[in-house]
Amino acid sequence: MSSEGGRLQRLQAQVFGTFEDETTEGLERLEHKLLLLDAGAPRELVDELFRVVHTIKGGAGSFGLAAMAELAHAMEAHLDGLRRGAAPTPEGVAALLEGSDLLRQLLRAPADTPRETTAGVRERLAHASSGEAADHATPLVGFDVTLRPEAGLLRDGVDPALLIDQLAALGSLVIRPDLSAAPALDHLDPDALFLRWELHLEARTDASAIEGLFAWVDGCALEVRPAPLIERSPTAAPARSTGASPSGSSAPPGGGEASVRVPIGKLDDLMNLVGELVIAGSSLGGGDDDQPDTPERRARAREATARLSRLTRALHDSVLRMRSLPVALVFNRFPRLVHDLSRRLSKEVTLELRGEGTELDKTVLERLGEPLVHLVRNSLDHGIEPRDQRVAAGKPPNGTIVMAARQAGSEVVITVSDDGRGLDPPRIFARAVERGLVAADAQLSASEMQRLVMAPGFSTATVVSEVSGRGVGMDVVASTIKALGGELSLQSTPGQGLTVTLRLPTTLAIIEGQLVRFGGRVWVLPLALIAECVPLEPSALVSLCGHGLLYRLRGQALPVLDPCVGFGVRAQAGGGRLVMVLDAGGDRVALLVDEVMARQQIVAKSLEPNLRAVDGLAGATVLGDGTIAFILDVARLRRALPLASPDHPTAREVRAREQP
Amino acid sequence: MVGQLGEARRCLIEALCSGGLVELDAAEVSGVDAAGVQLLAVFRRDLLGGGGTLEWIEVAPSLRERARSLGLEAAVFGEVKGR
Repeated sequence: MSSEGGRLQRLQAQVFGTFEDETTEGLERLEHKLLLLDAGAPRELVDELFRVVHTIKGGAGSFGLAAMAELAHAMEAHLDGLRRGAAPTPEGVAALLEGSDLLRQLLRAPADTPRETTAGVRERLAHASSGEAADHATPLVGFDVTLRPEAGLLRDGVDPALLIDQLAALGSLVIRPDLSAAPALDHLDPDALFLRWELHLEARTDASAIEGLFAWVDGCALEVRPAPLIERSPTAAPARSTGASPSGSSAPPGGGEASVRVPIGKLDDLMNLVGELVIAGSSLGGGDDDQPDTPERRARAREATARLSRLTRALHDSVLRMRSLPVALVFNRFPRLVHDLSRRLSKEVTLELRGEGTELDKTVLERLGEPLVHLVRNSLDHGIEPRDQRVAAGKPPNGTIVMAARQAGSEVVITVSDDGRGLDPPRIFARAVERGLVAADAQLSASEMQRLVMAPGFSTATVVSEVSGRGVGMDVVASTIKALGGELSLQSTPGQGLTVTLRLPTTLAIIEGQLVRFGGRVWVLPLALIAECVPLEPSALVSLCGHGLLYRLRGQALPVLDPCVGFGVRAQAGGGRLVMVLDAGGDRVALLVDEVMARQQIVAKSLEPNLRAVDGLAGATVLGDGTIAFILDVARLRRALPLASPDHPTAREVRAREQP
Repeated sequence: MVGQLGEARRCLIEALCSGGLVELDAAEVSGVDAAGVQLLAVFRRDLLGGGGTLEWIEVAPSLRERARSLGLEAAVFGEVKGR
């Protein structure tokens, strides 16, 4: 292959990647909006749907995805009928949703996927259109179209055959090629295009729609003129095949490196920051070394250093924001899921989405879809009761599922709530006994009950349904969230509903850390999980019947954890004089530390690939002076660390105080 | 495909120079764009203009489909002679 050919292929791969990203986003938006399409839908909604499908059609056509382009055309034609005043019908919406699903499949399919693949959906769309738009049919009109591509059009990766195919998809097309501008073979530049076309199109469309098909093409002059009809057909069905894609080598290249589309505003912010950084850097490094070291010079240097530090932090935030995407990208698939599943389960369920604009790191977001699907399926299948049961229980006949996202410090909190029956503790307990997970006479706390629900393979469903109940659900959700550095908790009110809360880090790599010292080493606590830090008040330490220590703080008794025993470091004499109160996955715990040091942003490195997973440690980081500090896994500290023993130096003080 | 047609053009010029009856077998063509179809159309035009004759032994469906898309089926194939 020539280097020119290679360059073209790389260019096509790059452009196709963008098309894939945009089409995937477009399809999600399409699906979301289609569910809002009913007889009272505003014109703007129909216009938006039309635009999305039109864009997909144009892109598919330009990449030779003939089956996809043709299906999008059929969907566009149906939506065009709605734009012209036809009322949407359930049949039409169902056909559009089906089309949207098929477009998603076709996006991953080879370019030469047979057109027949989409025939069924196209027929249903046409049928729905005939019912909806019987009185609103656009008249068939004729156009003469002149197409004069520039010689370099093919080198730019645009094949005129695809442009002509797009026209043919609009109606009946007569093609008259003109080869007269092509020189003799021995003078022909084989890569330059000399062909011209005179085309006659008869279609139920207007000139602007034809021009719109070419809007994305540079280097092809187009002239559209009204023309009398030369043939009359009852419908504007395509007059010839549009399956113009050659097989094999021209299949669009997909895959490649994952990408994030960044809004231009974020890039502008980054550029501004980099500009300021350059200015700040030059003010710091621009001094004349021969000048005497005066207090004024030192003050200026301090000021410039502080400014550099602020800018570096802002730059970091700016780059992180670029990796962030709105949770709407995941949430938007759920209206469709709930719509389809609730029908299948014969339940009436309303889905509310809140905080869709909340942003999460792309990696976190991509892995969040599956756990959320599990949760929503569980709510639909197990949570929301059938209509008659709801009415009998005095509830509204329609169930409600709320998916909400919000930013909370360095975390994003996502909740999935339903107003169904909630967890059924006796049933969970019975199933756990049945499966030998607990003894029949065991007394379980609420949190132990919660852990049972998340045990691998645990399900209380008596019937394995198509939707859920296979016992692969909550444990998968819990382990995925844990792997993302997040936490999952359940709040259930029997008969009233269940709320599943996911707390996720906005990014996986960088955390705001609080450096602390104990056992002669420096450790990192994620700042967001520190509730407060107080000097140790010995009188607030309470011995727990000789088995451990509690710390009384404003009426609340907090278990005191001993990190020195847990991590095998020697407690320092006179240490443990500060109490860090930590939010450990819903429970508050007290950690005794010797010293609270600086706060700083730290780059977290995983322990697993380099050492092994250590319970209670989330990772490690390299500090500014080169030393390695471990990051405490606060959410799991309660399980990883023992309670401080009464032999703890501070506990001895307590005993001394208690004994007269 | 564009960028890869130099060799095909050289072969076709040789065939053109030999004149008379030229037989082409395009059964193995797996990918062709407008540039490829244009090359074949110009070849046939020049061959017929010089009094020669072109016979197609076999044509890959993708080539025929692409020529049809461009409205060049007759310009490239005239009458197709199958085996």
